[in-house]
Amino acid sequence: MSVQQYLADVELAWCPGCGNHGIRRALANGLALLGLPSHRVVLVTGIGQAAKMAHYVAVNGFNGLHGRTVASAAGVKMARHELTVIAESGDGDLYGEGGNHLLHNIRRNLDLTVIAHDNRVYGLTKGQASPTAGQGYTTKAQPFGSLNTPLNPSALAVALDASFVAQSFAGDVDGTAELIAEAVRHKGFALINVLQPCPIWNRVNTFAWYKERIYALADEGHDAADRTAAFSVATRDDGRIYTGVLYRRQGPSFVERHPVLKETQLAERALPTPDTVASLLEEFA
Amino acid sequence: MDIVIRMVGAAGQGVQTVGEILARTAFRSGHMLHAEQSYHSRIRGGENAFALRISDGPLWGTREDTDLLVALDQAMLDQFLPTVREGGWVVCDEERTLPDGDAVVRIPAGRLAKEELELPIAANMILLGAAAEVIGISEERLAEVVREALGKKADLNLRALALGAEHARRGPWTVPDAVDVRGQRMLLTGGAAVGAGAIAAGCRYVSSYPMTPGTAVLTYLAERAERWGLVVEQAEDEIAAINMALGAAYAGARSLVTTSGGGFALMVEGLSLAGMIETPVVVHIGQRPAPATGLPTRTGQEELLFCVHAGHGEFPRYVVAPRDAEEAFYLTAKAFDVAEKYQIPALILTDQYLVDSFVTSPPLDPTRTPARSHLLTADELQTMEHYDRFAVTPSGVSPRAVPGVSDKLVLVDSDEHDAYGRITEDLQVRKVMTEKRLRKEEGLRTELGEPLSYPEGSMEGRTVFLGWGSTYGAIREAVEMLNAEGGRYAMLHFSELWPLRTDELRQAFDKAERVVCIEGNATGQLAQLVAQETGLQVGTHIRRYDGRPLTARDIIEEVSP
Ligand SMILES: Cc1ncc(C[n+]2csc(CCOP(=O)(O)OP(=O)(O)O)c2C)c(N)n1
Repeated sequence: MSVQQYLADVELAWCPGCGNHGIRRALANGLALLGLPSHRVVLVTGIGQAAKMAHYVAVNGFNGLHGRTVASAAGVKMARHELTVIAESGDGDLYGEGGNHLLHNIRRNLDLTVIAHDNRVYGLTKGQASPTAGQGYTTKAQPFGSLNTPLNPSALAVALDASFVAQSFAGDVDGTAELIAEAVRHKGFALINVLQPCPIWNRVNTFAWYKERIYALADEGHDAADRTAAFSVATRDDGRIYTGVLYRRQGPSFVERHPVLKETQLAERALPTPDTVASLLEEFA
Repeated sequence: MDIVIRMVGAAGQGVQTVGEILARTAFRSGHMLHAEQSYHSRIRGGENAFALRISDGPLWGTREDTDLLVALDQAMLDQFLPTVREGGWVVCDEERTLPDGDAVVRIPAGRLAKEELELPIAANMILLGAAAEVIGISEERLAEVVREALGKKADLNLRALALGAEHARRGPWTVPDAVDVRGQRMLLTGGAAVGAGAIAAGCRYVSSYPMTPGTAVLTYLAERAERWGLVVEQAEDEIAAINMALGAAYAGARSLVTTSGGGFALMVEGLSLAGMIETPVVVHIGQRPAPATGLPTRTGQEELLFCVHAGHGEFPRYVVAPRDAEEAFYLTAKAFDVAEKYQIPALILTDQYLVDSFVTSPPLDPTRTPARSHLLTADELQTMEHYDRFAVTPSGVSPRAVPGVSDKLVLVDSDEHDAYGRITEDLQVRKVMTEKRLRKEEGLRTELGEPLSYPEGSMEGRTVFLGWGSTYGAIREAVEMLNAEGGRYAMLHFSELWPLRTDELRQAFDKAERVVCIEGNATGQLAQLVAQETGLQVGTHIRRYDGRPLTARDIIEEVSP
């Protein structure tokens, strides 16, 4: 399938110059690399600018509530595990409002790909600090600057032994596309944190700012199987920001471990017949 | 025969185990029973009571007085002694302090358990053996049940029962081993009935966070998940639970969440999402006294108005509150079907009393709940040129497809959306979509069953008791007893509460001499709902909100001059 087929022919409500445009192209490219038929993919999003992605690509979509992206994606995957399920939303949605779902779905290890648009702000609600905003970052809602330690998504995911952890830059469409394809191919829970400039609200972490700091892990000979190395890269404090696959481990996914899911897709199971119900009721007799 | 055997003790002493064994024995002996469980919110100590009422005629609910008190510890003996009625008996350990009398059966249970059985906990089975002797229940049936329930541990427990029986004596009752009633009756709890109704309806997915009394349904289903092909997943919180369920439902798995009022409060945004994306989900809410954490293990009926109104925005929903375990099975199955057919959330309101009580019920009919698909098939989708998930139709119901079964894409959106499912801010579309969603209620109304009127016939000149949900039993029993004394009473009972049928209400208000609304809450929630829907005002109320179930006596005492 061509890249174009994955792009919905609709007007985009994103600002010119927004990193979301690059991520959209990367998603379409990634799906084309995988050669997945559109109807075999479900994109689950939450609410925010990033979350509008469900309307801008031509696959199945579940555009749910703010923060509940990963929870709904987990439900979709458990019901129809043969579909490719991708959860995509902003950093506010995935790390703030929905933080608990992220933690526990890392533990569930469903075969899901989570794409986080990390622009360090709440774009749609006009620029408040997101959980990844730097300390001292000022907004109308944080007039003294954010007082809190920024959340470190990669370190968090490695600490929880997430199955696949990666980071990319929205300006690097091809690199992001390849990471998405790799994450989808990986069996297990995959988190890709996409560093995303927001030209409207975030005047600090700009395109140029990222360009100066990012480097490819691949160039350094990083071993993605080494959890300790991954943790130290994620927590390094020298101002440089990694891109690429930080951590990857193999292991059975939720579906492989679940006695009921191993056989049939849950949603494909037949409805019960009166005979089945009769035997269900035997225990009460 | 109508006897209440109240087994009481501290948590951890096995009150529930001995209670269930005796209940099952009475069931096997061919009797009707109602076994109410009450307990404190803790794992050890506190109050644990199993009130087993046995009769050879129909039984509607629990009683608060006791014929035979079986006390496993001193504190509970002291607490429940005042409930023993005149002529009632007590079975307890020889070491307990209480005024001696003809009706006190003291058993060296603790000593025998240690010396003869070398198992102190078996004192409970010794006392059970004694109680069984006092009420003259069949030893054979009892042994049968113990063997089934305890497997390898049965032998020791049978010895314990025999020791108890040896040291006891016969009381003034006999629970005979009546005709074999296998196949004519079932024994189940309301919680199991909800769970079985869900499986019968084709429920495949359950995501829930534990909260008493909703947990009973979670564990019933989890234990049977593998056998019946369900995924039962403990969610990280209730918000996750409903959003996971909606994800699974979108993908075509019939989904249930089970909780109590507090957990449901967390799900409310998700409920509204179900309304917006027109995706079916069934929520079971086992009520307990609130606000906030309230009384975790007690019962009440405080969530009716909450359930009817929960969720921001306007969307149709179906709210039911089954009157007993039998109806809980059928109405749960119906809730799934209605949710699928109209693509709406359905809420099942039970309570701790209904969920935990064991009752004998007529056999559940496996043919009465045919599970029907309301989805477009792959073939149907294949012939369609284009698919719009939210196509505007006269009924408001859009033919529903799920992703992955055909090449048609399925898009749903919590934002206002167009027929395809695409986000929109077109205000004309908004208006059309609002009306489309709300139109579904017209069809939904045609699904509603009549409220239950009893006795049949005119309500002319009668005092009509209005009620809902699990207070049915108490009201029914009160009507029977009052009418047996020559009273003119009737009941109108609702178990489908939203949308609310009003014709029968208007007739009742028209004909009745007076209408008394009976509820397990302090503000009269059904009465408020009736006033909202009909303008009719209930004049008299009977309300119980101390965390205990309403009983017939509560009602009779209020209405008797
Ligand atoms: C329950 C709830 N709370 C708040 C909002 C308002 N809201 C919508 S998007 C958003 C934050 C968006 O930030 P992010 O998720 O980082 O996405 P972005 O817009 O930056 O892409 C908020 C707070 C909402 N829709 N729902």
